[in-house]
Amino acid sequence: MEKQKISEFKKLIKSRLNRPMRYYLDLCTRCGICYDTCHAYYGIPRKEYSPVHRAEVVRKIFKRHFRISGFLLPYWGDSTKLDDRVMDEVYEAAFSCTGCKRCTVHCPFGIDMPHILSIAKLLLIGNGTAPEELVMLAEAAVEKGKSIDEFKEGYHAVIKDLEKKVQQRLNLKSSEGLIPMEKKDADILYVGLSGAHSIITPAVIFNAAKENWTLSYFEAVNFGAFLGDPTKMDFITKRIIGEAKKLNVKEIVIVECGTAYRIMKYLLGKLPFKISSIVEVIHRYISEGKIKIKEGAIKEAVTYHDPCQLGRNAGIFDEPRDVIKQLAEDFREMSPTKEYNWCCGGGGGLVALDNEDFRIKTGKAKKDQIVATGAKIVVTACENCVTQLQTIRSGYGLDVEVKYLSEIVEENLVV
Amino acid sequence: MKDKIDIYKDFDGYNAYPLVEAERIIRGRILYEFSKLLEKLEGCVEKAKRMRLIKILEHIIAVKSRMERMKKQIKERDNIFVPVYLKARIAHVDEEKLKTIDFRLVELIAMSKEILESLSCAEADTHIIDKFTRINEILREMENNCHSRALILKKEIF
Repeated sequence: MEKQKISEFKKLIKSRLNRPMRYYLDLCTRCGICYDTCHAYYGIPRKEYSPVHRAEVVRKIFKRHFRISGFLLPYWGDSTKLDDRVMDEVYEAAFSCTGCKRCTVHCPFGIDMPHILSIAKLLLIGNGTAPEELVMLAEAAVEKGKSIDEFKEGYHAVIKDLEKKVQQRLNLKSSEGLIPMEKKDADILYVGLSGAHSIITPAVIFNAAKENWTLSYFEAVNFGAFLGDPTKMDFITKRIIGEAKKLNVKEIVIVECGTAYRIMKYLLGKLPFKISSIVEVIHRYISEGKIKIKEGAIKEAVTYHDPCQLGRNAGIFDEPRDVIKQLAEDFREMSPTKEYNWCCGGGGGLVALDNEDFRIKTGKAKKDQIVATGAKIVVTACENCVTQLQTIRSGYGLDVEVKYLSEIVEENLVV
Repeated sequence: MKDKIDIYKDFDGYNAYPLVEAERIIRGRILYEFSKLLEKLEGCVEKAKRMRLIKILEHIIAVKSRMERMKKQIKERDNIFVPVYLKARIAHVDEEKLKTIDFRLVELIAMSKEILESLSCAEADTHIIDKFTRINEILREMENNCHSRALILKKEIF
């Protein structure tokens, strides 16, 4: 590898070397506890899929370029120089991890492996070998932010059609204004995803609750984060922040998308409005009596999969369970659960890549959990998890239905 | 299923030609149908890209990458596992098995096409995940069938 390129890579690594990162890079004792906590290693027991190995890939590069011992005595210093072979290992490490942080909660030192892998992702971007799919999706999201006016007209026409579906569902006389857009001083700015399912269902719920809300032009999903590009991640979130400020809303409500929620809620510092997940809002509406649901309407056994970014990494555990317990007669908890729940294997942008075989294999832990509950319906609150759970269902031939939390609420809404 | 494609049209069976030639003819026809399917998906990509439907684009791109890889694998299989110097006939039972697989492959391509036609690749689509999961299931079955096809040919040869 050329000297200039290595020097650029060193700058990239240096840009991530804050205090926690140095702590994470220095502290691992290689105890190996994390091996058994990773869903990828559970499904494919190869050391390459263990959290410690992934972190070691980055650690060895760090030692070579930032530690004298690693530079002078690479063998004794356990370091490695940057070359194409190492970059392949970096790719494997970065994109076999979903960033679920299950290893972090089990690590005696709390080492944040996905944080270490943010260096790996940055190196891949610098090397031009980041997954093309994620690059394209992140760029499309940035483009949308820059040229939103071009899409507004077409989007309004689509929304008109979706309003008719909301009208039918609520048995209303008119469809006018059922999905408001650009509504100033609305209480809620709802940020969905593309696809009617992420707009119609919440629209029905918001209208049933008589909420003063408005729909965002943007999508909540953040491919800048999946790609590991801080600049793009920042731009993608700031489009939404800008829209919320312009409309002077009181609360931003994020669709069932774990990563989008965690970034907006915890990584942006103090914001002039509240950030909530649609899951919290549904729970609030039910608690306050703003919407009524058919209690005990679901007779089949139901289980709940905690999306890692919504549960373990953002603390939303009780709200979805409260809602499901009201709707279902037979709620069955997975084991282990909550912060120790297994990742489904679909996070970190992995569902956008051509890796279905890998995802089926690494979804084995989740499959085993689902089978053990004996549930017929698996409910979750994240689009990536739904996609991955569908892949697991089809890959292992499970006789279960996979549903969004908002979907089961909307289906059993008293209107 | 509409427009049933007969990939055995003007083809008299694997034993009517040198095996390598027969295999190439059928694989070429399967590849042609598969390429048409990929073109259809590319239209979908363009539409979603134009409208900047990021999450829909994600589902489409994942399938597209998989299909491009499969197309490359089908195309590049040429002369790798059917060396020309080996015997030119296969057992009747294997020929029948190959025929079943070949027809199933074309049927699966048609099924994927039908699902893609039911998608507008726009905001109005519902059950997008279900549909792309189904396409992935079909592609998985296709991969298994292509693998079985190769195994049958290999069994005869090696």
